[in-house]
Parts: sequence; structure tokens; C-alpha cells
Amino acid sequence: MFNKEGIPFFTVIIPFFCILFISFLSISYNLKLSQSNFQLDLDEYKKIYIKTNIDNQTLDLLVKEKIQEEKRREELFLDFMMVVTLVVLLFMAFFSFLMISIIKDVIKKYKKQVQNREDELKALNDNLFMKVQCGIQEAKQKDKKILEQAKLARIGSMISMIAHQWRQPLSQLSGILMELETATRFKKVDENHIYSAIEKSDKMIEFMSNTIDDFRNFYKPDKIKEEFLISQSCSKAINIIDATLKNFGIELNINIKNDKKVYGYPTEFAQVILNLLSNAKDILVEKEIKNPRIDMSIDSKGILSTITIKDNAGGINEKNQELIFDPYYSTKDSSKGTGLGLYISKLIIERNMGGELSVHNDEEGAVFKIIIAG
Amino acid sequence: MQEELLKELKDISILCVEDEDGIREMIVSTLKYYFNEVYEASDGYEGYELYDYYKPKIVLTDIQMKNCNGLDFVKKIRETDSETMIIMLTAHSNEEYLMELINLNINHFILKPLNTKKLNEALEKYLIKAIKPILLCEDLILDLQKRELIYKSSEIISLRKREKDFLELLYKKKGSLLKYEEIEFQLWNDKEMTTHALKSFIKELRHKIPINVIKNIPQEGYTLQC
Repeated sequence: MFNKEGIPFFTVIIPFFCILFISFLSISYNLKLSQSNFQLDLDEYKKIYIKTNIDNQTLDLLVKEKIQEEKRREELFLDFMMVVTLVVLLFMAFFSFLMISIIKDVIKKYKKQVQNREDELKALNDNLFMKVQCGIQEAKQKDKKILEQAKLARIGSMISMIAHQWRQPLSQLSGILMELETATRFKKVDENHIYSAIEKSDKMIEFMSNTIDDFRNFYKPDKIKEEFLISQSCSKAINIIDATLKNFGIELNINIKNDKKVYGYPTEFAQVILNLLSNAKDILVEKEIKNPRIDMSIDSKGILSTITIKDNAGGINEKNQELIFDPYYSTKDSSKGTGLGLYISKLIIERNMGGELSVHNDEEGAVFKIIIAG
Repeated sequence: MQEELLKELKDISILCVEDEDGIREMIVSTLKYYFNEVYEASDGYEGYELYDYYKPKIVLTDIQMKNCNGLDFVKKIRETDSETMIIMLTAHSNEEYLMELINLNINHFILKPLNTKKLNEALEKYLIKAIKPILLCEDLILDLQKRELIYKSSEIISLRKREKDFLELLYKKKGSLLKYEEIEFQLWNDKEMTTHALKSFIKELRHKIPINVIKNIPQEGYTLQC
């Protein structure tokens, strides 16, 4: 009925007060008017009676009677006024009670709503906490998965590099055996022949064994910082990838102007070099560049050493240039790249060795530059 | 492999193309036991030059090589020559070339590493193809291995090497023409062939064979006539 929310009690009550006020004013004015009228009437009455020669005593008596009558009327009016006031007051009281109860209702409703909202918020809050927890868990798992993937990718590329490194000596070993077998068959084998075959085979086997050692040591984490020659660490990386480069017909030029000893983690540094070389190889193969080439140069001036690795694959898209060092950002197919290689390389160079790893394009291709203090 | 088959290989020439020096060296010294004539090249360009000059009967080539790879090399050979036996040597990762190789009509495919068994399989394949008796025409069979002609499956006529080679060449050119220059190149090797020598050679051969299968086309050469 009075379900209009938001109307204050006061606004409702004001018209009633106005009515009350007006009625009081009019009543009191009426009272005053009737009083003065009475007085006038009385005076007139007196004059008339004086003219009609009535003695003063009777006049007084008459006047007294009139006054009394007037008083009685006044009392009657007062009584009426009292009743009216009372009725209005009662009505107001009743109305006020009604309003108060309505307002109470409204407030209760509001309170309930607020409570509900609060509950909801609280629930949401709790939920949010759970959700955030879940999200963090998920993100962690994803991270783990990606790291796992990166690890697998690294193992995969390592195996492929071993395969390339081994294919040639394996073929050669097989060739030696084939030659020996055929010679035996044609009865043309002698002692020297066998010895020379064994010697050749031993060389091949030793080479293969060294390859395995190279690979095994390559991913062993460095424990302590030590002094190392930049060229030495670089050649570790080159030993791992040269068969792969050869297989794809990629020419690798190494130009050592000034070699220098630096203080840091040699194996980690070699991993960075390998990563840069391997990236260059990937893009050269992907873009099917004719006469693919990688130029590597080592130079040092003062305390700073600079290593640049440059390919002729046309360079990095400008849009990607700022992003390639970000984690999980890769321009390669998702099966080939995890987007961690350059990120980790940057971490190794900048955080672990206090150097700088940057990239820019020249007219032929991308140039990766490592600056290191030693 | 049977000993007599091995002997057949002696007179055949083979070209080996492989870019890894160490591996090629071993393959070539192995082949030298089987063949008298072994040529070696380290890439497709060199290989094609040697092929063009010596026309070997068998070509053994690697696929992945610097400069000119095996695929281009084989393509070039097959442009003019569908006879020469081509044996491809390949590593696992080169399977992508397989389709093209099939269309180039290569004869054998060897997965590296090469060993005696794989090599023998390939050579045997060549020999079986090379020494299968040829039906020159009705009633006349040419047995390449025994170097004889069989007439009406009873009469046996033995031939000289050059006579056998001539008939074989003639058979290969069945339906077309065996030119003088080709006879000179294939049968007289690097020696000069005089018209007189050829005429007396043909005359003698015709005399041996009971039916006349060699038809002369004046100024041009010979063709097989049945």
C-alpha cells in the first residue's frame, strides 16, 4: 500500500501538520472574532437598552446573563475544540504508528537485501580466493608442462645432433667392415690390411665416444664460476652442432680477432652460443636460403668482449624483435619452439654473468650480440 | 653370390659418387674387388662429367651432397639414358626424396650404412637383369652368361665376346637403329673402327647364325630383323 521506498517519514507527516496548524489558527482567530463581536454586541445592546429606559440594575443583570451565556458557548466551543484536537492527535498517532511500521518494514527489507548482498560478496570473496588458488595451481602446472616440453624439445634436438654427429663415422665404420669382408672373400686380405682397418675403426670409435662425452658434459650445470677463454667455450658449442650444420650445407665462419678470458660459467655460456647457432640454423633451413652462412666473431676491447653471431636469413620481423626474448614467445612452429631458448639465454648472460644480449638486423640477416665484461 | 656371377662384374664399369671422403674411399676400395673399372666422384657435377665420359653401366650415388645433390645428378642422367642401373645410397632422413626417385626410375635403394649384404643385393639385381637369356626373335635365344646362341632349343652356337655384345646392343635398340658411332664406342672401346673391320665382323657373325637377323641400313647402321 505504502510501498514507495525512499519517502522519509517527515515528508508524509508535513501535510498533517499543516492541516493541524491551519485549523488551530482558524479556530483561535474565530475565537478572537467571536469575542470582539460579543463585546460589540454587548455595547450595542447596552445603548439600546439605555434608550429604552431600563434601569441600570436590570441592565446589569441582563448583561450578566449575556456574559454567562457567552461563557457557556465558549466552553462548548472549547469542548468541541478539545474533542477535535484529540481526534486529530489520535489519528496522527495511529498514522504515525502505521508509518513507523511501514518504514520499519522497508528498513527490514533493505537490511535483508544488504545482508544478502553482503553474503553474496562474502561468498564471492571466498570463491575468488579459491579461484585464484586454482588459477595459480593451473598456471604452475602449465609452466611445468611447458618446461617439460622445453626439456623434451632440447633432448630431441640433442638426439638429432648426436645422430648427425654419428652418421658419418657409423657409415665409415660400416664401410671399413665391408671392405674387410670383401677383401677376405676375394682372399686378398693380409695382416697389414687388418691392422690398418682396425686402426681406422678405432679412430672412428674414439670420435664417437668423444661425441658422447661432449654431449654428456654439455648439459651438466656449472657449480662454480671460473675463468675461461671465450673461444674455448664457443668451440664446445660448435663441436656439438657442426655435423648438423654440415648436413644442412650451412657454412660456419669463425673469426677470432681478440680472444679473452672471462669469469663466469663456461658451460652455460656454451649453451647460449649453441642456442644462438641452432636458432640461426633453424631459420636458414626453414627459409631455404641459398648458400646459407653463419658468421661468428669474437673480439675484445678493454675489459669488454663482444661475440656476434650473424646469419644471412633476412633478419627478424620488426614486430617480433622486442618480443623474442620474452618467455614462451616463439616465432617457430609450436612443435619446434617453446619460446624459452632466448629467454634463458638472456637470463644466463645478463643475470648470471652480468653481460648483455641484444639483437639487431643488418642488410643480410639477424645479428645477435653478446657483450660481456671480463 | 655365386662365383660365376661375380666374374661377370669384372668387365662392367661402375661410378661411385659420395661426398664424404672417408666413406667413398672405403666403398671404392670394396668395389675394386668386384670391378676392374671403378670411377669415383665427390659431387654431382664431377659425377656427371665422369658419367658422360665413361658411360658406366652402374651408378652408385649418395643423395645428400654439397653442390649438386644426387637427385639432380640422377635427373640429368635420366634425361637421356634410361638403361644405366642407378643405385641410391641414403640416410634415414632423406625419405622425402623417395617419391621423386621412384619417378626417376631408379633401380635400387640402399639405406645407409652400406654393408656387404646390401651391396651384394644390389649387384645381384643388376646381374640377374643383365644375364637373363634374351629372346632375339623366334627360335633364337641369346644366353649372355654362357655367351652362346640357342637355335630352335637344340642347336648351340658359341659366340665371341664382341659378337655377344653386338647382339645385345642390337636387341636393346630393337625397333630403332644401332648407329655406327655407337658400335664403335661400345664395342671397339677407344680403338678406331674401320669400315672394313666392321664389315668382316658382321659377315662372320651372319655366317654363324642360321637365320638372318641383322639388317643393314646403308650409311646409318644396323637393326634387328625378325
